[in-house]
Amino acid sequence: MNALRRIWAALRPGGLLLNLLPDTSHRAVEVSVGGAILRLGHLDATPRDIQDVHVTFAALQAALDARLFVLERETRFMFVDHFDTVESWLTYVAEHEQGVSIQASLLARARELLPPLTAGEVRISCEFYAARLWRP
Amino acid sequence: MAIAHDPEEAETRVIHDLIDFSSTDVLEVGCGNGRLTWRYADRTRAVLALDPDADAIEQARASLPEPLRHTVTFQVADITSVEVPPAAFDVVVCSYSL
Repeated sequence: MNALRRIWAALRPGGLLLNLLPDTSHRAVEVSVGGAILRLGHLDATPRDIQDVHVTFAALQAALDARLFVLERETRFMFVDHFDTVESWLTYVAEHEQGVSIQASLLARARELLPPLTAGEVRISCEFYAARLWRP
Repeated sequence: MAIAHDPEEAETRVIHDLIDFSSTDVLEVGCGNGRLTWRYADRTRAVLALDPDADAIEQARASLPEPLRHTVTFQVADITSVEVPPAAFDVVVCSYSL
């Protein structure tokens, strides 16, 4: 809520807040190979990820209740990360997504479908929430 | 190692559908390495992009396209503590940073 109050103060009256929020609790793992896309499962969200989403939505609702902002539009869209190999995906997770656990069976299936030197990719799809809020 | 984030540009379509960035003064909160900034900054008058992660801001500055050098300013800062001018921005962009 403190961040939203600072943002409110920084905006001119009539200004707009664009808020983008990934729903990391619903990230699908797919492998694309040979022209086919195979869904392997989901990544398990960390408890912290789930808590962060709840905290953010609660803060937004509090700001709306306090009439700091008026919700004008909201939508959802899919954001897809593409990795050319299973190893490049794992390297990215190790560097940028500490705490994300990948089920052993899912990883084994990915490696089976996309062995090294095979043309294809790993796709991680995440649903994003986007909202436009107006500052009175 | 090849990685592509949202090459379909679904995010770009959505943000431009929701916001007309033409000639706006924008504050971006939690800009990270500038991945989102590049998707709208060319239409704005000016962008002040903040992130508390100094390494991410360094990456963003290093990859700042030449045509945007006079438009975008990156700053290591947290919105909850930094002093920003009051009522100075037309748009605030937040990506997973509230």
